Amino acid sequence: MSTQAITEEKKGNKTKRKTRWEIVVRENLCKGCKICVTFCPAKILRLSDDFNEHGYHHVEVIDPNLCLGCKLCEYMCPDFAIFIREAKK
Amino acid sequence: MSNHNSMDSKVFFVQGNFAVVEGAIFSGMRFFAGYPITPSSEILERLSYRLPQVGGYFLQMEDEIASIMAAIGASFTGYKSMTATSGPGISLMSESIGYAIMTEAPLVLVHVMRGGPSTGAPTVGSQGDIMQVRWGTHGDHEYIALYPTSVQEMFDLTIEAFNLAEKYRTPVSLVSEELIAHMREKLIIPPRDEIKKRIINRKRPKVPPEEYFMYEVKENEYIPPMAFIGEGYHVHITGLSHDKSGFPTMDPEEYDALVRRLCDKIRRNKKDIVKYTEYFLDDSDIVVVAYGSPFRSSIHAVKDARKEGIKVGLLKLTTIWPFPEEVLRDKLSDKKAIIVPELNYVQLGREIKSAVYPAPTQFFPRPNGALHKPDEILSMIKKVYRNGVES
Amino acid sequence: MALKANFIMEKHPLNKYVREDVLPHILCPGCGIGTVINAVARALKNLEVPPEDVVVVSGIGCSGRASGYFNTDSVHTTHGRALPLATAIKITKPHMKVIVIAGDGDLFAIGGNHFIHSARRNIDLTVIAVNNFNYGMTGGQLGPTTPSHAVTSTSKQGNFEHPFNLVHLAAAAGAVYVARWTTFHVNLLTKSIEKAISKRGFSFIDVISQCPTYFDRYNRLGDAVSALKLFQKRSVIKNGYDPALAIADPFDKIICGEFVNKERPEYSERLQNIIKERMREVVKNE
Repeated sequence: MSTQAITEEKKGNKTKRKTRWEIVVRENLCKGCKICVTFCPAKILRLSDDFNEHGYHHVEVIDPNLCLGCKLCEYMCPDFAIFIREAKK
Repeated sequence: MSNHNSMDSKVFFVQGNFAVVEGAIFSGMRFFAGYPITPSSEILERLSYRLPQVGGYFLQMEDEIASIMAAIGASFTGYKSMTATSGPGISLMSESIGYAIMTEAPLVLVHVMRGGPSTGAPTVGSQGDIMQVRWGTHGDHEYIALYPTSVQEMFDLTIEAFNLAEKYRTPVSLVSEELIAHMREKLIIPPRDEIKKRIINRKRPKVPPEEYFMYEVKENEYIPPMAFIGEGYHVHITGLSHDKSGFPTMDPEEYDALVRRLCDKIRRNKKDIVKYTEYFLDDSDIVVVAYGSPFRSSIHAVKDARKEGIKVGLLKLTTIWPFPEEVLRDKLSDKKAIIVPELNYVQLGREIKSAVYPAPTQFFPRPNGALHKPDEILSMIKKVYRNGVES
Repeated sequence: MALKANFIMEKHPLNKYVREDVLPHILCPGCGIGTVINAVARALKNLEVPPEDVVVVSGIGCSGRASGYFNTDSVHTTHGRALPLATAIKITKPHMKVIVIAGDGDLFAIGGNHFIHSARRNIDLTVIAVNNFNYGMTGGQLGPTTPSHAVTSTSKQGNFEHPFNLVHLAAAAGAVYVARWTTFHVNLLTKSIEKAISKRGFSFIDVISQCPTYFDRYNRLGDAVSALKLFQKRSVIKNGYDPALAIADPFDKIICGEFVNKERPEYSERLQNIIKERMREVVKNE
């Protein structure tokens, strides 16, 4: 259920910065409203091409290493589908 | 000024509304929310100083709807709660009465009838709301209503109303009219320990919160134990169709089961709920069926008629809803005639007529609330005795 | 019945206050009510209020469904009647935090009378109006906060009525804490809710919310994202501003901030004192 990373391999632009934050997406709860995608200041979220079981394109993480930990996605999400926590070492 | 510690083991000469107040306080009622309306305002006024004396909460709300919703809220925090009003107030409260039925909130509504429809005649006793009591709110439901005929019964039936509300987790109406509410008669309040023995309280959960479901009942039972707000049971109360956890659901099977249980809990327990009194039924050909103040006139008329050799009896209905159809059918369908004096333009009379068939029924309606005098009922008895029932 | 997630492997940080077993909720994608539930749950978590000391009371409509998603005691009442029921709960359980979440129509049209009297009495409640300028659940009809000229299902040629200014109404009725935020201002909203819950007295927060399915669609405000961007653009924060002048018009300006924060004697406390006094009198007169 939780997604760790979908690295943007096409760009060939692997970032090296490690972040203390981990993004958890609960795909089955996402309704594809794009609020988190739009307001993420690091611009590391996008809607996937996949559908979840309810028929919505759910959100996926472009590069988890760039997460700032601002938690705006967690606070704005109307569906409790995305949240941030401290990454395990 | 009278107070809780000195009211029992005494005899009073008081009005019906006073008796309701004391009956409620001795039942353990400790939350009242109301709004003034003739002829029930005396209940509101007396409770405004009596309830705080016994540590209870009295609120005068901004309207009747706020009153009943507040009473329902208090019911769910564990209080025996009550509101009092008249016909126009019940019209306003109708949606909320349905909410109390659907959420299974124990509640007592004192309904002192006055002349209707609409503003009608506020200071006239009438029985024009009988069908409203039964069917005022929308949807399939059963209803319990008790009807006192004296000041003493105003006290005793208030206690009984609370007991039924607690036992069946439903709103119960204590219906009366302006006549009984305002007349003054002897009231005997027994010692409080005696009254305590008569009190029934709502069933409480026996399991911890993790195992508890709001509306779960065992096989062949109808009434779920009640957890209160503020005890950690995570209660969810809604007027929507709901499953046993209380959460809304539109599943057809759940909805069907819910509506049936809400009705059956009263329908299947009629024997426990229905109260009536019979007078001289065994040898009578003609029977007067009466409820409320017309009973007072009827009992005199019946006794006078018997002195003149007419075999007439009387059946007093104390429980008007659920309608005591079985009692009427069993006891009266072989009689020669039934007479129903009512202070309306025929309401319960029609139910009585269907129940006692094939015995013919003579309606004796008075929509203006002018109570039938004993000799008027006696004349009617004699007329029916001589000429039979006139349709 | 909506499909339910059979298992949720990861627990949300707010799972102490939000019921995970009934998610996803019935609200539309991008609905502001979800954000309000999020903010209220976070405020409770930040204040460390135990869930058993909280009761959420709601009315009817989309906002009315919010109460069912809280992992606390919750009551879903009839249309417009959340406040009298919440009043009774507060009076009989004074230690609890009683939070009312209802829509603009529920609280101010059918429930308007109860609102002004509850504010007048200054009952210790936290009242959150989710203001999306229409009646969403029933299909987008006009309501008491619908701006003039707006299109709704009952004003297809434009609304010729004038809306209430909710913060002005609340302040005039006697509320001791009055604020307005939008569902864009999540952090400020959460802080404001914390203040409102902690405040002793009738606290009111007007939360301007998007309604992507009806109001926003009928008035060409786009989807949830474009509505939030609009709120961001059109809002101006003016703490301490005169509530009478603090308009909330999504086509013009939305004035946000805290407008009233004062002290007044609170109703349930005064009622408790009166009861104590009367009981003492009874003992004295024995």
